[in-house]
Amino acid sequence: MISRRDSLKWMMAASASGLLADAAFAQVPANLGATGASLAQVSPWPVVKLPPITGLGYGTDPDTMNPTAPWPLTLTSAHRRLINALGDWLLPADDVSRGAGECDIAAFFDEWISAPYPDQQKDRPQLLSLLLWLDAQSRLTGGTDFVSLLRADQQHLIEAVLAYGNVPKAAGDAFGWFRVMTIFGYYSMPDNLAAAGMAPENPIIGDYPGPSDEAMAHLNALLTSLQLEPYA
Amino acid sequence: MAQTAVVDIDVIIVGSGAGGAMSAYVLTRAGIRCLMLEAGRDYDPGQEVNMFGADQDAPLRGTGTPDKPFGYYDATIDGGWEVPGEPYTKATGQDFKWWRSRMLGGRTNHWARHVPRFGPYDFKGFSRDGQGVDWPIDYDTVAPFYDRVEQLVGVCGGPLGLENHPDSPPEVLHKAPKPRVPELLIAAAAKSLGIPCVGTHTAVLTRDMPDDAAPRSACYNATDCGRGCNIGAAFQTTTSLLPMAKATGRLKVVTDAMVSRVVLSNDRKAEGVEYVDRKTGQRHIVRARAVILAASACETARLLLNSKTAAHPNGLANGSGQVGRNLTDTTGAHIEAVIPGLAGRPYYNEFGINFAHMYIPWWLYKAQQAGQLDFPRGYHFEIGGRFGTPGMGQEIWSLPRMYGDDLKRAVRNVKGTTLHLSLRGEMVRNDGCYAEIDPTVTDRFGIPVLKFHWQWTQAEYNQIAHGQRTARAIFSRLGGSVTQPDEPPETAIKAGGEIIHEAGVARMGVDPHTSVTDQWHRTWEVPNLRLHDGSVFASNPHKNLTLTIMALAMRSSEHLAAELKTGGLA
Repeated sequence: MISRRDSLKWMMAASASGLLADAAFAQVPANLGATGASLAQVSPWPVVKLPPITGLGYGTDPDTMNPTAPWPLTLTSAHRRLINALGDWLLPADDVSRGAGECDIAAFFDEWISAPYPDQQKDRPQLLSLLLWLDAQSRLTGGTDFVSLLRADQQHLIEAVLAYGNVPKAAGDAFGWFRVMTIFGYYSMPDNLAAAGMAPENPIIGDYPGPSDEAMAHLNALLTSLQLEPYA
Repeated sequence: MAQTAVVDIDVIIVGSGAGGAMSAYVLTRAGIRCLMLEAGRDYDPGQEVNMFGADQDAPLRGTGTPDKPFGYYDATIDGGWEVPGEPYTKATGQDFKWWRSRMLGGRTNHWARHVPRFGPYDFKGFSRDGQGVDWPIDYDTVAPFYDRVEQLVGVCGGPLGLENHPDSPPEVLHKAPKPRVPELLIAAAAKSLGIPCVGTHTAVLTRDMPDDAAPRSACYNATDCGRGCNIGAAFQTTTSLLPMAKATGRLKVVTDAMVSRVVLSNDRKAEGVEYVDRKTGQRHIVRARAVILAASACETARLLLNSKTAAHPNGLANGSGQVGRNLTDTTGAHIEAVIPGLAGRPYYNEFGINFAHMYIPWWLYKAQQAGQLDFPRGYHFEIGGRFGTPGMGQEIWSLPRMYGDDLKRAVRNVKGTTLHLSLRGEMVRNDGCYAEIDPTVTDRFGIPVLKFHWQWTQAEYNQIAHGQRTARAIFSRLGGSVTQPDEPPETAIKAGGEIIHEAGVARMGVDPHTSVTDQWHRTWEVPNLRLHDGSVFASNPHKNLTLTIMALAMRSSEHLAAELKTGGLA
């Protein structure tokens, strides 16, 4: 089993090595490269000092039939507004599903970084620094916090931080993490997963039928393109 | 002061996992009265397994934490890599991980359910390559028990037709589930490289198994077996062997009973065991005509080492000095890749029976015997990767730094494009891997704990390196990009114990000077004390060991039943 921490470690290493350049998906536009977004003035990356989380975890024998997270939440309403605003930029509403902010993705982040576990506690200063920096940067360039910025200014800031356009490297890294976590939090909601074309599994009584005809056709086309013979 | 419990029993069984439950099943059906002592709490999958619980409803979306390392819903209770109040220690600078659970059914509630048979070579490794030791039994001895265990626990799979990978009689296995797209893709690439890929034998039912005491239903292809299975499709002793044994009326189970030592009536006879009630701390002694330790390999070694007496100063049944020695685990490594050609593939139910429907068995026996490889024993690859929640797979980390509608489209497009190969290999025992009693540390019950020593050898590193090259070749053939750095095998290899296949710490043999038990699992020095878990393994093939634990426990239990009926232990 691969931990989330290992995934992140690999990803950082692979990105640094350029290993993933080959993994780009042709049908996916790499739109940020084209924006060239960059900031004229840059707020420094803040160093946050946080009181430790002291709540208890759910223990080694939680009631899995009635799941609950027992620890108190720690984000402020301002934090949560900002996270939901960012969520709607990253995963906006469209014709198939709601936006991440509309789904209150901030609740997921709040539970996450308030949890008294080591992985989550490592993520906590990263998230809070990112939120602080985004507001500070917004005040620097627009005279107000992020959620009150003009939409065009919000968009420019998001594009800049995604493109590492004259932003602190820590901000770019943190926003990359925030983006993946938003995707995880969003698509682990069953409705959103279904909207992505992956309905929760319905039981299949009887023999497992294997791939659908459409799935097999896609596989066979791939095998042909790779000049591979089918297994059987 | 220990209280003596008056219980009318013939055999005490310590542990309710694969070996203990099989022992109880066989013995009770043979008319033997058994008392089972389980360190953990009672557990009923029918009442406690949330099979359809959404990740969204679980704390942290069900992600693993130190409290529940394999995730919130995982069927591990009061366990994991650490058990509160029950530490273990490690030699300075060495790493070993010990997975435990404290629940009825033990580790059978969460396991991979991959059940390959050991083959003829696996029982005679020393004769074949001069490394390790041979078992005192051979494949033909165990084969009939494999047949019966596979029928009893329910195993699905198909024919193999491979060297040293024995097939099952055709009537034994349940129908194999059809392979899925990721497996068919890997199989095609493997085939082009001359590497076999075959159907996995898995302890999951694909047809119903009616039984008055433990009716079990066929898998419905929709939920994670790691949570446990409340329809009994995925084998665990709590929905099969234990209720079947209880139905005889001859099995009494005491949970929260942490056994601390074996009690002797004389130097060569076990009288019973002492256990601590985990809830009250009260110590009890129970007595029987025979004792079976099936506490899991390392707990069994710990019990023997903690049961020393004046006549057994180095630990019970340890005249050979081999108790705690010869500790092995399966080697492990993980290679993962994103396959761009899978992007946009049509969605279908890819859950299947949850576990891999196909795997890559070891295939280079001839090259190995010809001395063409720089490691003595083989490995297999377990195939992984299917549609799953976006955000956890490498395909999401690999996406360009986009946002908005583009990002949503991209996520939908790349779902199910990450595949992985998990290497599982055989290590040969070495002098640097063993467990002993830590002279200074006790658990919360005052029981001395184990201290682990672990050192890989160059052979394991060479094996991992070979596997890394092979996996990369397969993914390269698929146009894929491996997502983790090209690590050296010394860091790519999992820690000792991490694959949770510990074995060998009280091995069987033909010589009391070099082994702990005979071929019937009887300790040489205390014949009415038997070991029914992985501790007796003379070697630890890369083939997952639970099926063999159960087959051997069945064989030894039948032998014990005959012995008891003929007064052999009077």
